[in-house]
Amino acid sequence: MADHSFPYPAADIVVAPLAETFSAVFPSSPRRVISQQWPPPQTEYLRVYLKEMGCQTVVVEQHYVDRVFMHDNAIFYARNLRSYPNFTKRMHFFRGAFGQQDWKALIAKAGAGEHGTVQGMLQEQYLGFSVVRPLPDSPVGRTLLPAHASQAPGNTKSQFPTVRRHRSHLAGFDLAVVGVPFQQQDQGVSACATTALWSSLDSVSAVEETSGVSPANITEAATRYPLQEGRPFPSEGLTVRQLCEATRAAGFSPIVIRGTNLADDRLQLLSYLDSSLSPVLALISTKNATTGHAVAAVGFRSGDLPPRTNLNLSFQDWSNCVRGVYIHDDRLGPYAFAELSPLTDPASGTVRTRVAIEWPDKTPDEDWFLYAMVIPVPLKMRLTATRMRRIGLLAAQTLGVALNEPKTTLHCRYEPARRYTAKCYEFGLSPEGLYTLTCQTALSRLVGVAEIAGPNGPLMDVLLDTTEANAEPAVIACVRRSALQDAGLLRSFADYFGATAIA
Amino acid sequence: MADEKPVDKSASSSSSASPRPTAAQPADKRVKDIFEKARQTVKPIINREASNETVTEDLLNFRMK
Repeated sequence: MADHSFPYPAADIVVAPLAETFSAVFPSSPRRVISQQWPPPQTEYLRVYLKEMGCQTVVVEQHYVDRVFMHDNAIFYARNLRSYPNFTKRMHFFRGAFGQQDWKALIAKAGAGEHGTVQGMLQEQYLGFSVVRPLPDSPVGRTLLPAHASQAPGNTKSQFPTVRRHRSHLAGFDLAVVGVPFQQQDQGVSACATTALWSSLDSVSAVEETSGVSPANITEAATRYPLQEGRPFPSEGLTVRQLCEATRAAGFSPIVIRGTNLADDRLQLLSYLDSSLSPVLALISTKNATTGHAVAAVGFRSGDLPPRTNLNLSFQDWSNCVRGVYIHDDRLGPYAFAELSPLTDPASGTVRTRVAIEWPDKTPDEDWFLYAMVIPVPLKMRLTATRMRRIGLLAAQTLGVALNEPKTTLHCRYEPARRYTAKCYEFGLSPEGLYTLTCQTALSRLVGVAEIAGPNGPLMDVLLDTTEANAEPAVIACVRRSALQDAGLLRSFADYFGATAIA
Repeated sequence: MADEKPVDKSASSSSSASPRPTAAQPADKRVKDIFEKARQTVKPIINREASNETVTEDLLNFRMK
């Protein structure tokens, strides 16, 4: 006879419209006596973001075991006096409007031999999911939504190179969402820096094809060595040093770059972001120099290139077209737009990069200065973007002068060799050149690409071996792109760098 | 830069991008000369960008909450 004294939690799937679901899932303010607002901005942001995406229906799994929360629970919450459940709820978001009876009918239809049809229909409507943690002040757990750039001005383009495909399972249906995971800090096992790094590590894990870690893993790794605060939990935030330590513990290598000015910051951001690597941005308040905050950069918005300002150079950086970045900000939500602009820091009198964060409906949030960036990269990627640019700057300046082309641009990035060799079939290379590049050229797993372009498209790629620390011996090949007519010029470049000319 | 030629903004090539060597100067030699000048032009930028990667104690101890 079964023992019912330890029952399993009730599991059901409830379907409701978006607005009703939010008031049911986040029902009332927990007891609070100081200044915490309710509902938290993260749940309101999520509601606004979903509304912007056209979400109409939410399907709630009443019992969901989330591996990330389960891990955090095991490390921290399981030892609390209050019994926090080890399971969560999970909301799945859909574009179309349907109700509980429709959902039951879908289940019946799938059981009548149309499982594939129903799955396809659900996938077509699927927007993603958000885990609701049983934590009174920080309910927004692992959330995966597609990147959605709302109300971007004309002549701009939003790109999210850090996203990847994540799977979810609902009632036997296999669904997918392409995005970068987000969650709210809980101040127990995580602070803003922890959740920012957690999001960032998801992107580099995809590049390296490894599995991710939980926020509690990050805080534990970050605080393994002597702490000024004396204890890792509850989290009092992380320093840049601790972010580096946690990155190393996760099996990656941290690149640290100090924020300086808009032009330099933009080109660093673009080099890594456009390489599917998500920088953690260390921000400092424009109003209070003692307040630090961290967010994960996951995409960027670009516009037309402005006129070249440095007439000593025969090219300009393509990064000058970047208007802002999309960030996962755990105080707000996923994919918040942050405009980048120059602003004088009243404390130092220097012009720094201002990061102005806004809500999906363009309501302004806070202003910050970019203090630093920490970019988790694969261990074997030793050639930083700055080092790659030593070759890129030289090649772009030379090509711009040689062609007398003032609209020459330079863009340095990293690309998996498999992806670069797949793309090169569209470069218009000769059969010999194509064979040399795809069959006879050894490339590092992540290849450094210094792409030089003109007004009619890319002219030349200088390929670098990113496992080298020094850029000069790292040049592998100079690859002709479709806008470069003269193969002789390509050979001169290859000779100068001691590389293979591929035309 | 003092040794840099002024930029001719009207000289944007429209369809084909190809170098313009003079008859007396082979293309290869001309490109090498341009490389040597370019090295001097971009050197200050390279140095400035390298200094941005210098990691200091105050940077490492910056706390984010």
